[in-house]
Amino acid sequence: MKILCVAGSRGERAKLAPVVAALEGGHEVAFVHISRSGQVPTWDASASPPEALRLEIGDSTPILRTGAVLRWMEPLLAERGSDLLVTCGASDAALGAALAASLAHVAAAHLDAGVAAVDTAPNAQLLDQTSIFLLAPHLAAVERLAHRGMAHWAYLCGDTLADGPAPVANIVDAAPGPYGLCYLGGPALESPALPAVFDALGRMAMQVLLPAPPSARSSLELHRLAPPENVHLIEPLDYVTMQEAVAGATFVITDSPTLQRESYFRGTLALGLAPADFADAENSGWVRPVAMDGESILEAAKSPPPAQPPDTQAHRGAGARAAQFLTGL
Amino acid sequence: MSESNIGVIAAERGGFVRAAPLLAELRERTACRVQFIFAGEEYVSHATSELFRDLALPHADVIIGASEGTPAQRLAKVMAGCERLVSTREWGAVVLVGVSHTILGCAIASARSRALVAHVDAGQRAPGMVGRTSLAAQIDRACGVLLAASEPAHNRLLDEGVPEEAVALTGSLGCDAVGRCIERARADNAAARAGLKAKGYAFAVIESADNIEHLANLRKLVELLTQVQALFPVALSVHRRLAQRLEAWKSAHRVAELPQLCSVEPRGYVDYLSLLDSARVVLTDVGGVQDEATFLGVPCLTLAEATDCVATVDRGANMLIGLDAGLAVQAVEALVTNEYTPPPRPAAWDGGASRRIADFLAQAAERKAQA
Repeated sequence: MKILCVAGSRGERAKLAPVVAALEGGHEVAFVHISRSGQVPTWDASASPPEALRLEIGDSTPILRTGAVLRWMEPLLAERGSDLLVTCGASDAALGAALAASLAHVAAAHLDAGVAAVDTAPNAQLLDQTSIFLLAPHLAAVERLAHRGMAHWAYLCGDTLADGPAPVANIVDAAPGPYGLCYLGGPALESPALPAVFDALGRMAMQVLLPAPPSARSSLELHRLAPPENVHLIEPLDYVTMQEAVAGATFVITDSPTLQRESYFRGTLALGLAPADFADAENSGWVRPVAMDGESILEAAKSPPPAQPPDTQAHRGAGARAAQFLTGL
Repeated sequence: MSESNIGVIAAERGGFVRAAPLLAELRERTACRVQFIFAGEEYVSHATSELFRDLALPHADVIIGASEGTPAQRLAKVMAGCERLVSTREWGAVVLVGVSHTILGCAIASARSRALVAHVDAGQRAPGMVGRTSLAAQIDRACGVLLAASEPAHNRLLDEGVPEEAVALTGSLGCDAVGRCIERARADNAAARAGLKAKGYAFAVIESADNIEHLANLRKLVELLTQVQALFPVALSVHRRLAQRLEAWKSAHRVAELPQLCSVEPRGYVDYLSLLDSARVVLTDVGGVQDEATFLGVPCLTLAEATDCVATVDRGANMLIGLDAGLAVQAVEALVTNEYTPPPRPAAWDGGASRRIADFLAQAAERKAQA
């Protein structure tokens, strides 16, 4: 079977990687990476695909980006004689790839189908609709798909983020003592509450590392926010290093649903500034939804994590299950 | 911004047929400023065609369709053109008519604007996997307002979790188009001109790629037509693609020699409607033809395993026979030997779909203005 897997963002690559790894044994698999120009590379360079499978799209409108991917994917699908396209998430790249597959009558699968954080994005429901196979990470996602009349096509494979790279070292050797990790990439940067979040970071009783892509730095400049003494603005980390940073942190504060899920799987308390839509993690107490105000953040960061470690066993092997489902049908 | 500015987008024949009555209705309402957007290929050949003349389709206000390049390049161009349009025209509503990748592209491009994005004939899809991932389903998912042509389509949308306030049962615009043209079609008498007796032939309209582009299926189709014409005369609507495939796969000669099969080439919509109206039975794989036949009371046999036009099957006006020649012969025999009483038309198939859609859009614009 000839399979093209397309990731259009850091999170999509992280979620697809275990599926690609599981497919590679018995199938001809190509892992396509699409990124927006100006985006900081957040992936370990050694994991980068060959040039023919990489595309950088301009930082234009979503429709123009979708169109650029659509045009680029058409010959790629034809040249490779692809039988199946696997997309993930809700990026413009994923939608462009799915449209190209639809035009070429190539079957499509959608990983992370039915996830609410993804679901609200304009492209997500379309990706579910264009895809024959819907791979859901948890029961709530399956239920959401069922509500849209798609129960028959949903497969509960588990969360592939559970299969992410095992932390091999604590990258923050340089950080003396315990540290918190903060990553702001979405709604928080556009929120008027950003100064309050920043103020709370400054009042933490420990060092806080804040990997800041250009978008985050621009927002901080816009709000005239200078980092407090204990907050260290650092360059964005590649994927593996970021996972190590998560694993070594006392807590993670983020508006990224994906990073909250990753924190859960790395055994680190996550304070979520945006919904993670991951009931397992929230019920366990390892992911705490927090309002975007200083006092709530400080309060949540003070409480110790649950005594019981996260029970992630059920999700382990999600990538292999997804691969088996896709190729065993 | 005037919330009653409306863009109506169509891209192919079925969309043009349905857009015509809607454009006429919307343009009669002085409160609306309506633009017709052509998103198909080869505008000039369409605009000068009998089809456009018969439907009294106005010239397009804007052309965003692309005729050159690969399918993906054309689609990307249409999407970019539609995005530019919706961002500059300040439409209160964009109405998408028809089902094609181009219309899907326009739905995606429009969905990010402030305009209300509506799809007419929404919810029309075959049951199961084929229907779920169909183009029609994808277009519906990108649109905020879904205007269903029939009760089964309306119910399907609700079953798929679309909120009730986003769905309306408006009836079929295809029926409106038939209603506007049927008198001219009856006066046209295309059957007699082709040497056919009124109600003395089966009208075959075959266009789906499944039946035409696959050799095995085309062979089955020719066998089916061979057996049916042995029983009852057949008028086969021959278009360029079908003629090319029959020629390429060495079946043209066989079809030409069938004694009771006559090839017809309807010039426009009126000509086609005249042949359909005078037929005893229609054999087709085209969704629009199934709707029109049901509206006219002509029994329909669908040469496919599934159909989007669930309402026509539910009513008993349409039977799915696939490419089974034996079934086709049986069904045609029953229809020509027994008197056929057309079942009641599906709900809201009364020629009032354009009016209901215009009313719905006006109300939605009002609600939006008040919000």
